[in-house]
Amino acid sequence: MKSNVFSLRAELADSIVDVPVSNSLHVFIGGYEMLVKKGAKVQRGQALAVHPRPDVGLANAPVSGKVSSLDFAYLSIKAGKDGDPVEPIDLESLAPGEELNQGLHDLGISVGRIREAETLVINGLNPQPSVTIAEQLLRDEAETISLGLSLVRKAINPKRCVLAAGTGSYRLEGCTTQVVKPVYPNSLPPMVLKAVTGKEVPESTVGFSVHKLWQIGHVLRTGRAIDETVFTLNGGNYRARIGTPLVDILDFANVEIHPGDRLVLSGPMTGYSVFNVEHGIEKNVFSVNVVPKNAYPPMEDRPCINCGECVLHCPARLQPNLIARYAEYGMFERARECGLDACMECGLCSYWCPALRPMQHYIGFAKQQLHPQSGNAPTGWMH
Amino acid sequence: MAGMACASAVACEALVCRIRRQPLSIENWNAFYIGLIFAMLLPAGAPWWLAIAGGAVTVLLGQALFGGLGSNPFSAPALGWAVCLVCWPQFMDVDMALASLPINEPLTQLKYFGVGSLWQFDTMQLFLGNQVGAAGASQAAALVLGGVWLMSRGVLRPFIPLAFLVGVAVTAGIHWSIDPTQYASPWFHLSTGSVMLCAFFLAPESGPSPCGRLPMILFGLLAGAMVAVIRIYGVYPDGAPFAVLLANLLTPLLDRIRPRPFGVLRRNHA
Ligand code: SF4
Ligand code: SF4
Repeated sequence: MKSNVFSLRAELADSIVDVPVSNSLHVFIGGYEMLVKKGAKVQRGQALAVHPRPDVGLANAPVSGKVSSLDFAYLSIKAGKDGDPVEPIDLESLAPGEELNQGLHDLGISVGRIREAETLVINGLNPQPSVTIAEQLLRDEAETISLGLSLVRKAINPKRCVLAAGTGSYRLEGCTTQVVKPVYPNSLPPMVLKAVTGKEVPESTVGFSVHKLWQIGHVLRTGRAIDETVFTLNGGNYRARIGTPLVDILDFANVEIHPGDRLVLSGPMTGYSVFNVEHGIEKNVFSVNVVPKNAYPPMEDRPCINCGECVLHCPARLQPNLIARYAEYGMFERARECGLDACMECGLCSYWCPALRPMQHYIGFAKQQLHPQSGNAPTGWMH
Repeated sequence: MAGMACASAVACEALVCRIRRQPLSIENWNAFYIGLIFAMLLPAGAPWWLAIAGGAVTVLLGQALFGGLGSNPFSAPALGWAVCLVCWPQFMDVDMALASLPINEPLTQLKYFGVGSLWQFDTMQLFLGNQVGAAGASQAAALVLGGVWLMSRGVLRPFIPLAFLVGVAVTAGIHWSIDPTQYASPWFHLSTGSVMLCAFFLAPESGPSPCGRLPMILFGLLAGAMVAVIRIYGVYPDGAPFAVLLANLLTPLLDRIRPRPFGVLRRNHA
């Protein structure tokens, strides 16, 4: 009845549209350690900040200009003239392993999963309902993706390479295509890995999204740090500099917003709301959704009525009702005993809960309390 | 009379919210709903004060005492019914209350006069509701219709109701196939008393029933089997609400049946 809501199939746009570069860009640097000061002149591609976790890529300048303001969350750059360009990095010449990973890291790519493995899985499914960027990239940017894939393959040295896609019509050189039913939550990384390998805890297998391959292909071709992202907005697909204020993107795409609407980044199911229309788009964001004010009834602090809907819909076979109750009362260890770590944060329990409990928030809260050190890592879609 | 039970239930709910200084929760219709279901379990001729007292017990003892909707360990209407039955048996006896009518209550006939007395009933007529019984519970066909509508709208999950009916039919069927002269047929059991009301409205009540597919199915089967067992071996002619209450007791146990979480190895799953 309601299941078609979760279909991952949708019409693709004619092409990916470029959003013009704004005068002022806001790079999100929450949790990073700064390398530049306010007032500094920066060049496109220059390193701005490092993340305390060594596998998280640098934050780099998406345009040349001057750092006009800096606080705990945003670094704003006023676009100006180009000076001496930053020396490009030739990734092809680097040896796989430490050296290549360091190169990718310096170009803003997180390298956590770039290591040798027997099976390489490319997630070509559209990540979430209403988001079409994965298939659009497979169709229109196949060249960049193949370029990224060639580098990743060199680094990972897999015996088998599989593209998981919603239809059999997509191909990548050197990969077998495996069709996965294009229905959410089949696009989530653990579900894709299981569909390809048949195992829930596959050994020696790594997965990447086509979005990530596109990023890698992009930096490989330019030799410059990643300074763009591609994303879905309102049925269209766009390309914008990192840090472009959302309000400029919405204006360009002629999408209206009204007081009370919510701006959700990275997918309606697992994404997060931002509180400021000036928020600059981040490098791993793959969609911008405007959720109208009255589209969903608001979440409330209401007790669970024990109906079991969340249990019946949880793809990780958990009891979200118990986990959320433990989290609500601060019993995080008990939540872990109920299998909290297996949760994929798919958001289905929040979606189905008739009591409108903020399930995802409770679950995220418990996870954060149990693993505080992983709290600030920029999240993404199999990134 | 149903109106009085509902009014009493809603009034009690409002009172409890007031005492607890909680926002008024009657607009979610829950108190009205459990009051109505309770009223459907009453015999048609029950006195007005019984309806009011029962409605109050249903809300206060059945739900509010345990923290309200979803936290109650027992099906609230069944609890209200059980309290009334134990306290005022003479008024809760369906056969007695309607003794002036020329037809008899089928389950009482079965209990006290045996299968031989059942020639007077046509199962189809019983199913369509042409029988003496509790106010709403005996309208089997109408209740099935309502239940199926709720299931088709996705409001009601089919696991518990269907398992409940299967439980009744199988247990009654086993006895019947052993000796049809001593035990009534499963069709008779399914269409009499409050089986349909229990299957579609009492047993699946969210609070006191388990979550998860397998626990839900087991819960329904157990409750259904208990109905037939109470009717055949127990002292009460119709044990359906009692069966639900008994199965409610097993819910915490059934809720411990948990599948292995995604990605957790079999040997690590307790
Ligand atoms: S978000 Fe909820 S439904 Fe999804 S895996 Fe986690 S507990 Fe299960
Ligand atoms: S869906 Fe909501 S109300 Fe129902 S059991 Fe889960 S948490 Fe409780």
